[in-house]
Amino acid sequence: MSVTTEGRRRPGVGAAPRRSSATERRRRRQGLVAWLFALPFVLIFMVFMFGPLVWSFGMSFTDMTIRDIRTPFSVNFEGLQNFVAVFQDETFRKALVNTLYFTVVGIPLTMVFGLALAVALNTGIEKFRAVFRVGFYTPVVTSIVAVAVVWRFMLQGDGLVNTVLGWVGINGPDWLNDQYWAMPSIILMAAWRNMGTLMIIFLAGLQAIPSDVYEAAEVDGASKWRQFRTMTLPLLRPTLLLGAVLLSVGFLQVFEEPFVMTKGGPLNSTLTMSFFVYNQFGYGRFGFGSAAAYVLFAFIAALAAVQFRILRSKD
Amino acid sequence: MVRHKAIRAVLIGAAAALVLSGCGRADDAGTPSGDASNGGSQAAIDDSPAEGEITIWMMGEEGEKFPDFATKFTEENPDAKITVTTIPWGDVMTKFQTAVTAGTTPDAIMIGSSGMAAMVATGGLAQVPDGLVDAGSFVQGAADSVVANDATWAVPWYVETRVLYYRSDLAAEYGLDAPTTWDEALEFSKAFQEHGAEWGMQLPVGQVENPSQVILPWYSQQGGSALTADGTAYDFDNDLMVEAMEYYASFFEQGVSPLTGYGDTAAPSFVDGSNPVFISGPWMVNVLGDLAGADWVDQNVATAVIPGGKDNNNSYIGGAHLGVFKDAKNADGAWKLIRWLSQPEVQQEWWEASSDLPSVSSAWDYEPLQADERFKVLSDQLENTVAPPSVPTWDEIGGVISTESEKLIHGQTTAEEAVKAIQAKADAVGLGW
Repeated sequence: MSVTTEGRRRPGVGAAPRRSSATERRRRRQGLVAWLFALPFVLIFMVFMFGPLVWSFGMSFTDMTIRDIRTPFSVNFEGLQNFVAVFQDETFRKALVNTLYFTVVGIPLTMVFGLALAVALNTGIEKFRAVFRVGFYTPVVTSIVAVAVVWRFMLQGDGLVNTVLGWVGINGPDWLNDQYWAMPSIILMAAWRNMGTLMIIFLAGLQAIPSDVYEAAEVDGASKWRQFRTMTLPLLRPTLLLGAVLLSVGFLQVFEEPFVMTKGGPLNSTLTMSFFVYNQFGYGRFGFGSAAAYVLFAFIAALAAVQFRILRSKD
Repeated sequence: MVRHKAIRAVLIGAAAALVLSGCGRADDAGTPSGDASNGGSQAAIDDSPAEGEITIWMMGEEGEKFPDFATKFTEENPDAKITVTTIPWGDVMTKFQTAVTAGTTPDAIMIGSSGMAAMVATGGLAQVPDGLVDAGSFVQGAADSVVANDATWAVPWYVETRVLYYRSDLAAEYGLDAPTTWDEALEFSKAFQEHGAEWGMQLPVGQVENPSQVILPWYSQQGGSALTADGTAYDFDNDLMVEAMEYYASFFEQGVSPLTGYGDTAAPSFVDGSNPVFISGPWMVNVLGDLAGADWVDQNVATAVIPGGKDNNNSYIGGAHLGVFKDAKNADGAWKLIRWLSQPEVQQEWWEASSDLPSVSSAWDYEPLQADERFKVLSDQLENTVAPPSVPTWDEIGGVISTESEKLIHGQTTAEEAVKAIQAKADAVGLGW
């Protein structure tokens, strides 16, 4: 990489002391050619990525609703009114709390599952390792719509989960229809769905730890648990943080699980911020919905910033 | 450095967007962007045969059955060709909005009656040309629901209304007659429980099951109306709505209806007798038939008109209309197709093909229809109906009613507070024109 950079720069570097106008011209032409080559990408990016972003951001400051879709420019500018309204909306505040609940409980839970699986596959399980690896990764690639049907059957009042609980004398609730148990059920399902991804990442991280440190610990007489706590975890720290970052963006935007399982109910107890935004667009409140979407974006950006700071300081 | 540039770029872009979007609303008077450019009354549609390709969007079963049915039209109009695109019910609004925004609309569209106002608000629909059909020939509730903002935007195609379903075999065994008042309905439901049923009445709970579809009729049965008399605002903050909400809640307080709603087990729990009463539309006959067999349904399922409140026994009326897009290439052909579909004989044939109930009153004078006891009940019920208000934000306000009623039955609010909360939200959202 550095070699090619050096090669490309050589003419410019050689002429640096005297900076003749000829090299200046050539550099400018090179720059122009470079932009020409980049033009297709830049155009596509501007039209299909940046444009819609700016458009939706602008929309969040207007009173645009369903009546304006034929004439999107004749809407009134409302300043920050939508953002104020978003935070005044009781349902949005509920959705915000639900989303934080989901994220704060869901991410550690998924990481514990993923790490446990990775450690088990790395050290404990010798036979059929590939089978287990595929088995635990399958939830990641299966369609949530199909999976949701099975989960709903398992979680319904007289479903599999409650039948099993009944064997040990526990009278389980109607999970998805109970305002206190619906969210934990959704979190568990999300953890089940996402643990496979983390398992793969953590497995790679575990295999990158050299085995000689374990041998040294072995010689010093450290127990397996002690080895895991004081060696595996600290050495895995960058991988764990990577997993947390990857997960958090998806978890803050959680939508599919409540959409297919509960539609946000009962009593809005599984209504998330993404779901709220989706509903607003469904009602045709485009300005208000955009504002809510950018509030969600701000949360994700803030969380990402915090995580990058943590990642960097431990480098 | 790079970051600063990026921020600057975003700010410039945002500023540009704001300047562009700051052009201001042209018509702040509150008229939908529709009428101005539409010229109100279009040229009347003549009687010559339809020509050219007519593209139409339809949903669900209608979309599957209509192409075959439409051959009758193309036989009479040999120069016309009908292309039907089937769309899932859930995607209609999105597809409609996209098509209107991009100007890529078909000629005509089937419109779920509760979604019409939101479509009108986009300005994508054309008004019904003067003299195309006689508004007086339609079932009253259906004729009302094609009018929004003082103009007519669609032609009713078929209707559905909700009636009371109960297990006739059990009712006969226990000596129960169909209830006619609110109190009787509650007692009727309880009587099934006294004889061993787990529940007495299936009622919808929560956003998905949308209890506004039962609460709105109850409100209407007490004499209330969702909109003020001049139709400029929602009107819920009154005793009549409180009574409707309290009546809904009483079923849950007294243990007659499950707090979880009917869920996935509406039909099975009716068939096994554990929850033997519900209010629903004509399609339930087929749903129950698929589960237990048509013979079982004939012998054990009775329907009756809705028990009434202190003013009337209005029931929710739904169904579908047909409308034409403002940007239609073949508006003339589309209106001719719609006019054809609203003829009484064609409506009767369509009922044979689809079992959709005719929206034209005179089509009900039809031997096979009248012979069926169930259709007589529906026909009686259609005399007393209430349509959801034809305003763009009704969907959202219906959702608010669902949320507040769910809080109410969980004891998190009172009927008075719930009604106040519904009114506050309704005032904040407005009608949406």
